Amino acid sequence: MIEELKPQEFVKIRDLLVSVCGIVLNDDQDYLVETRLTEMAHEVGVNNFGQLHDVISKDKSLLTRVVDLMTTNETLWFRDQSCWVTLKEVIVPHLIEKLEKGQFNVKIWSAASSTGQESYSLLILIKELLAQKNQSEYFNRFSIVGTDISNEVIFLAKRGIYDPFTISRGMSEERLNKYFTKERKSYKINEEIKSRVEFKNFNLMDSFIPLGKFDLVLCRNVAIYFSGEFKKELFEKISRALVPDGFMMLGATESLIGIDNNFKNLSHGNGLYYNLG
Amino acid sequence: METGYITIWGKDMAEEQKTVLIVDDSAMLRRIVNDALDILDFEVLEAESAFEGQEQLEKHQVDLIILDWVMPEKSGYDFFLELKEHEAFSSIPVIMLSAEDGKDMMLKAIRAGIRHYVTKPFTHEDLLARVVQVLKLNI
Repeated sequence: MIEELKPQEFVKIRDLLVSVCGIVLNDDQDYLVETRLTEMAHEVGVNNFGQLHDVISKDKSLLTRVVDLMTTNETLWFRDQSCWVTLKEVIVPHLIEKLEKGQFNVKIWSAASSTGQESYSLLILIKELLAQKNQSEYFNRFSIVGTDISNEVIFLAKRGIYDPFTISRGMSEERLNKYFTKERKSYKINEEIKSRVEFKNFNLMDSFIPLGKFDLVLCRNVAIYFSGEFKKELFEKISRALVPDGFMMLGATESLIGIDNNFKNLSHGNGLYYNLG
Repeated sequence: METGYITIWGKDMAEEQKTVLIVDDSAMLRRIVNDALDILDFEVLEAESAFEGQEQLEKHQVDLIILDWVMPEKSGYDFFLELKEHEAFSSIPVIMLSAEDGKDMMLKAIRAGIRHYVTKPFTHEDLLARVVQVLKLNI
């Protein structure tokens, strides 16, 4: 059994999370540390949270998993209507135009892909817009890299299989019939869509350089978990990961207000998006 | 069906099908959890009480128990405490579902040895991510 979390152990873990990961915990959130990290303490074979602190502070891969355990996985198909209207009416047409003008391929990064719905939704949207313009041959020139800090959600995203309830959260009947195959009670995303996305584990605290450059970065509902200093660093790194005319999108309730950054704010209806100006 | 493969000591082998037992007096909740687990291709057993859960455990080899805290007659928590004392069942990991999100309940569950405490309503992603973690499916 793991010993109960002591106040001084909570302070050490809280300070480590804020200084290394940028995750902010309030003084009354000690129970979150104990209830969410006990499983990890068992896994690494320690008896108390002081020892867990010592182990995670020396092991970066464990630290990334701590961030995952302290945050929440939630995702919907075509989540946040204003974002999807902007993607449909402004950003994806712009990306298609790049191909028309001779760019060979378009790279998109879903920076917190969770169980895959955002990436698959965007590929469905791209496929539909290309079909409307009789340019379906361009579909294979789009690729999405979906990353998440959680190995568990990456495992689920790669499977691309969703149960009826998860499907019901934003996927229309028409799209379900068109882009999914029934498998027992669940639905599997079609191979053509699945083939355009690669899901991998990635920590937003690491350097983005190995990922390459992107035409579009979706970083929705991620920064809310980070402290001010880490937010600034996150957006600096995203700006360097974008091609000069690339776009960034945040969640519908997020903005860059109060964060020192070099993005230019753009809007379309109720949707906000950003470029490098 | 896509076949999952895992590597153990450098050797590829077909992933064996896991068996999960859901113990909940609500048929609707059992169905919701059962539907969520469908994507992982498990054998899913259901029980509507601790008594039925015990019967299922005696008949089947179970890899994970998903247990509701509040049930008539015997609570999920009391059932868990009994299982802990039973040599054959004490090592089966338990994920507890509960409508209570109070810190005292959560701490009580985790300190007793429950692997994850999931508050209702929960997202399927959240439940599945914990199932994947406890059963180490992603390794």
